Amino acid sequence: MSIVLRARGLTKRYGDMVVVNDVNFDVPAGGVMSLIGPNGAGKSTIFNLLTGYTPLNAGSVEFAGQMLNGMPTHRIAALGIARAFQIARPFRGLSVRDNVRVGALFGRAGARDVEASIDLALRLANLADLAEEPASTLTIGQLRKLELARAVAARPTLLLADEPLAGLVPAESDEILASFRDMVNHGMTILLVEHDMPAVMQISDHVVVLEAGAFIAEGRPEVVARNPRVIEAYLGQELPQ
Amino acid sequence: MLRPLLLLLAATVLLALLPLVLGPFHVRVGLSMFLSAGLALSWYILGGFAAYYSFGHTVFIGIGAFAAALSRDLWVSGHWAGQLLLGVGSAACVSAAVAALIAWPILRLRGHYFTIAMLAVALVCAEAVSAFPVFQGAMGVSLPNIAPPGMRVERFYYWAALALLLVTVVIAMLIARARLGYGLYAIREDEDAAMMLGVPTTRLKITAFIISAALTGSFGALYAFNLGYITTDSVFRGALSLEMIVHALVGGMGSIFGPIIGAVAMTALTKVALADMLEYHLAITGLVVIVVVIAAPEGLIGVVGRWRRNRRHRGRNP
Repeated sequence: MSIVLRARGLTKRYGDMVVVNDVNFDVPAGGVMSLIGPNGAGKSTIFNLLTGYTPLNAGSVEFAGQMLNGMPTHRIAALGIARAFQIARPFRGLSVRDNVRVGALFGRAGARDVEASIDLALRLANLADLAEEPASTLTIGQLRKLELARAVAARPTLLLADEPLAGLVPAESDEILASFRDMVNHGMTILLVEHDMPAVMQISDHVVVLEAGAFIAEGRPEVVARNPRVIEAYLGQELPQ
Repeated sequence: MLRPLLLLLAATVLLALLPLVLGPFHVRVGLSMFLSAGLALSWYILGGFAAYYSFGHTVFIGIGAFAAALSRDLWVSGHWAGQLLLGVGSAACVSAAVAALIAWPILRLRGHYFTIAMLAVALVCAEAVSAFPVFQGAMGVSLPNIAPPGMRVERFYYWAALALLLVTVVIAMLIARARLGYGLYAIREDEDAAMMLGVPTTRLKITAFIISAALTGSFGALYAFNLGYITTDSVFRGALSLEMIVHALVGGMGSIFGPIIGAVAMTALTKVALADMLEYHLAITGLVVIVVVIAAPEGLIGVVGRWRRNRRHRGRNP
């Protein structure tokens, strides 16, 4: 299986605090890969590093045959990495369609096929019915979908989704998981950070587990779930009998 | 795009015919409205689309005015159309060049910091134009009357300002629907999120700034032609910066027609309704701004929009 993104020796320090410590992973093409770990494991920081939002202290990121180190955020986005934020950041003054249009105009598709990209993104995120509504009137669940649609409209090869299910009711979560499957069927790769473990186990093809900024395990979800180090990281040590 | 363009053309033709039936005073009021509207709309290209409020935009009025006056040797002889185009053209070029020069350092600043930086830029440029003899800012420069022989001066500048306003409106309409426009809206709404979506924020802000400066400078040149004699104090004026912002605010920041409506309304108020109490008009302007900001934060255009929505609503549920 081919690799979309290769992360080597990712390291981020804030003063003496090492928040990401020499983490390596590959994101295989075409599927859903999840980054999991307890709070403070460094998952969101890794997203910031991959998108160039925060600079790396050491290590490298290779995507589509290019090194992303030191590249500005907007160029990384234009290469085909899109990010959907956990806390939705809609353009409140614009309609849903115009929000998605920004993603399409400045994404990998560039100025070509803008309308087609918008329609596809709205359809994949189940937002076509709300296209003409102002973004300021959407509910939390709808905003989360808008966040995804805007990212998908850029026609990314890799979508980084930061806790897309947090705070949603099960019906909304199921809808978003179904969207992810559709996106993968359209040739996208998804890198997911999510705390909802049943959802992660159900949707992921591959899981990487972090704890306190360091790599501890990876593999297929059912294998990782039985790994004693992973269980320890999540539940603490088993009590001695 | 076609329907608004045709409407715009019809409105322009109608406005162009007005001087034939109006007296000189009202033609001057019209000219003043076009200059204010054009300046407010030029400011809006960065201030409205991207919400980057320049508090020092008078710097481009001043630069445009002095560029037109000091390039006199270039255009002083010749046909009136050539004189007008060369005067306005050199104003646009010099303003754009100065904007390009200062854009990189000051547009990496965000929001309020940009506002403050522009205030400083305006002060520095005004001082420089006054202090260096080559600019003749302290003494003043005069511009010859370039109206074609036989045509009344106020009519000539009325038509010239109307033409330049039309060009400005078309440019603003094109930007509003283009990739540049959507990038600027995204910057206005959330600059970080825009960056994450691939919007090259600094580059787009610089582009908008240069376009805005070139247009402001062009109106500055017309302003200078109309005055006939300019000094630093008459064209580098903080009050002019403030007027552009007030007009956009009063008219409404949601549409390119907001600044135009605001400029027309405020000019009508200060130049016609309050013509006999010049000493109070600044105070009354201030009062109007306070009332608008409290009662109609979306400006006059927002009030009209709300009224139309309500009417449609009532129509549906009688």
